[in-house]
Amino acid sequence: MSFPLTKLTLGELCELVRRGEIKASEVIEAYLNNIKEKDPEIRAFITITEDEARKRAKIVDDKEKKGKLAGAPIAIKDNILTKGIRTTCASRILENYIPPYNATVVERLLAEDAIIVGKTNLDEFAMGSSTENSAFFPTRNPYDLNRVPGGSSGGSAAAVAAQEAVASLGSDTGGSIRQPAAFCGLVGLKPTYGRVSRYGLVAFASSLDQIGPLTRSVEDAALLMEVIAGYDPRDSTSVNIPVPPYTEALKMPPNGLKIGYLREEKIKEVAPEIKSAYFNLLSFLDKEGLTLKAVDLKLWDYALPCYYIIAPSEASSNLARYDGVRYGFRYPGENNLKGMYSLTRTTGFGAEVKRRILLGTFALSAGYYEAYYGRARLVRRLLTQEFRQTFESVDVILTPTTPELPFPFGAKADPIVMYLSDYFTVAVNLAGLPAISVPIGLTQEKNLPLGLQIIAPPFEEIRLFRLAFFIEKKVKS
Amino acid sequence: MSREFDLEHLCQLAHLYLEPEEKARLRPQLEKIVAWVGQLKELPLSESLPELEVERRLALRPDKVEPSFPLKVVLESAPEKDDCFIKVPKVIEEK
Repeated sequence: MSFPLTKLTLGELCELVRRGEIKASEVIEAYLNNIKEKDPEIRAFITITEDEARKRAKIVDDKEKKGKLAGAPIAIKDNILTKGIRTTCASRILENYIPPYNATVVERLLAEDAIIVGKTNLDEFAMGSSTENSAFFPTRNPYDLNRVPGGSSGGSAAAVAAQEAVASLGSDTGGSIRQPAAFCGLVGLKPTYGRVSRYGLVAFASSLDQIGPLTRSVEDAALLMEVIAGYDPRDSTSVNIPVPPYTEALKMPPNGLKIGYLREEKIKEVAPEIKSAYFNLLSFLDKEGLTLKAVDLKLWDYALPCYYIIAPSEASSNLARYDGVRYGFRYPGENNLKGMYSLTRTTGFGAEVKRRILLGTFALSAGYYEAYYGRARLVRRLLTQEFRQTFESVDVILTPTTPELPFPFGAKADPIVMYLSDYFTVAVNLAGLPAISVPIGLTQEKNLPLGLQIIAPPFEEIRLFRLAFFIEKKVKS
Repeated sequence: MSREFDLEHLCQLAHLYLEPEEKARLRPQLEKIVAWVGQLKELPLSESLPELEVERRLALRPDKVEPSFPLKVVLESAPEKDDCFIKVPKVIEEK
């Protein structure tokens, strides 16, 4: 085949493998070659599962009836458990942890004959927006090696953008799929809370975390969602409603969808390139006959402070399990139990993780609980109510995905400045909504990717796919 | 703000031991973040706001005995073990 295999989309690739026109082994070799060539510079992977991938490819090739994702080389964020394959969360505390079971999403991918090529880098325990907080090394943006790929799913995004995997899975607690997707020119979907099982996802903030796909096309994201979405009795927050045929939905043009947008004053702090791409797209949609309506989300500015109480509070509780007793790193040679706990955690966790644990401990501590956590819980309800009311008059909301373009390494030393990267994304997690980031081209001057976000009411992923597919077609034409 | 922010106490609660230099660096950062999230105090709130779906969905599973991971598998992850036990430093202090 003269056309490089690594340029094919997930849908195209799997179709050729299923029809027997190419072998899964050929696909895997092509991708492993790409990894060998590019990853020493990009550093998307913490673990490359070369041998397992080759073995699996052979098994898939020998199968008569192949699954939906036959031969697809998929990269998995390293906070999603893979049986027998090291899962580190990019933390020293889990550096040598080998899980005894697979996450449900991994089981579902394998059942459809996908092939895992490796585990990707992230900000430690998914806490960050640049992948600079990885305890091991930062990942570079394939579009500009001096810039970050975004985070926390930066490795998952860089791997797909650099054609080291055809698609990947990430997790999104406050924007960790959508922001790196925007920074690396990809489609990134954060599904509705409860749509995809969290069983086997290392918990950061359990009421906000969701697993989702990062892909090169909208169709690929829809295809992956058809495989990973659905009820799982092992996740008590997973919802038992049928998974619609997302790839079929793409064929429906978005006619009739009412699109809510943000007024200029709401996005005055946004990078000029993103702002003009946003308004250009709005006028295109207007010309195409779609109804546009300005929406006034008054509480948007409170979403970030609300998130930075709720997420660290849940994290401080979830991360209490890392005490050096049952798994992970233990500080050696300490004879006192409490001393062992403290030294294990102090040595095992990085600076940002400690900062968030302490912040969460503060928000949950006696005397401050009501003023901080209790209040944030009510703000979250208020914010969710505002979204619900807004969706009475529009079907989707269109916003920028990020306030800025991919930034250079070390540009955001102040934690609050880094937190502001998630300005457009965190509200979606607080309200449990689905949202997609769709690439809309590159900046003229620096050739950096631009992305916009579409938000829908709960379980209306179909609306996201329909509009994103329409936008993608316009961008590619 | 610094009066209410007892970093020493928080470190004890969170089982973290911080060197004085690390404390000196973290304290102003945390105080700044706490002041920043404090802007939520501006909003008028009421307890009667409708509950979130995620708050309602915290269902418990049926109280039924189900198979779990075998002991051997669980022990493989333990940092220190002795026979079929996970070993930890002595919990009971000598007088």
